[in-house]
Amino acid sequence: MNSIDPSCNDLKHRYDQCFNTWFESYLNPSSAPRTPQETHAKADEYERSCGELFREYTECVKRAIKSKEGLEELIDNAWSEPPFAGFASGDGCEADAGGEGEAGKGGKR
Amino acid sequence: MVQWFKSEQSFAYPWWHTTVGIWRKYPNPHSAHVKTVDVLNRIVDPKTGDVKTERIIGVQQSAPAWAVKLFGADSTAYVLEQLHVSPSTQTTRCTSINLSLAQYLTCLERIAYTPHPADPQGKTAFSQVAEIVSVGGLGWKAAERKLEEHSVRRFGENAGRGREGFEYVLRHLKFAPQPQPAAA
Repeated sequence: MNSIDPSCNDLKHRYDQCFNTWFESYLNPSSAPRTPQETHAKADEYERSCGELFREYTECVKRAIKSKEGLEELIDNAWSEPPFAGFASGDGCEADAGGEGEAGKGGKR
Repeated sequence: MVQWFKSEQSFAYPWWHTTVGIWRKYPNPHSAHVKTVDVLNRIVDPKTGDVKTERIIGVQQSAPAWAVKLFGADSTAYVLEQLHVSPSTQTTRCTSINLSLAQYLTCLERIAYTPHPADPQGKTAFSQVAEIVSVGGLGWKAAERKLEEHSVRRFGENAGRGREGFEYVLRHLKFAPQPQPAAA
């Protein structure tokens, strides 16, 4: 699968591989965390293994989006309203909120 | 005007298998129209264990001739997707909306994957609701209605292909042998 910009393909593939490997071990019942401590350790493991790759990859994607006329504005418009507003700010389960409450937190990116 | 498309299905795989498969859905033999997939943002919450992901998907859509005349030549249309995986509740939710052509029509889709009530260990329940709204940018009611109806029909076709594509991926998923988690 390709990235929005070919220059990000290599980073995309390496990051996807890293995340997919981690995520499989995260959910597979034979290796999934069973306590809050194990969950925390597993989240730390993701950050250690994939954090730097994630930052490099998403920076590349952001640059690519900026280079496509009008696309950044379309994304900001979608983020300005429920149910998409405030999603990645760690503010809870917007997908269950039925479109209420998070409108004021949009556009933080 | 609003039109709805609703669907409930099941996949013959446990919830965790289906959720792992979401990130590997593309490419598949039924998804030639999906051209690019990128992660915009992702958070793994160490307290709740939830994984929240934001993605942008690029799709090559071929429009009917009358729409091409209205909107110009085919190009890549973009979709924004937010996915929320909650292992503690075994729920995966996906909300998506078209970014391109949003001034004419919006298709807001909500999908949920949960263990199937009839077989929670072995099957995944899938529910999908799409809300298709013409936003009035055409300024001509008949064209708006036509666009909405075409979109609902098209959505149904794509949903069928999407399901076949996902089935294919789930069937071919291979899992790595897992080491046991380290003692806390």
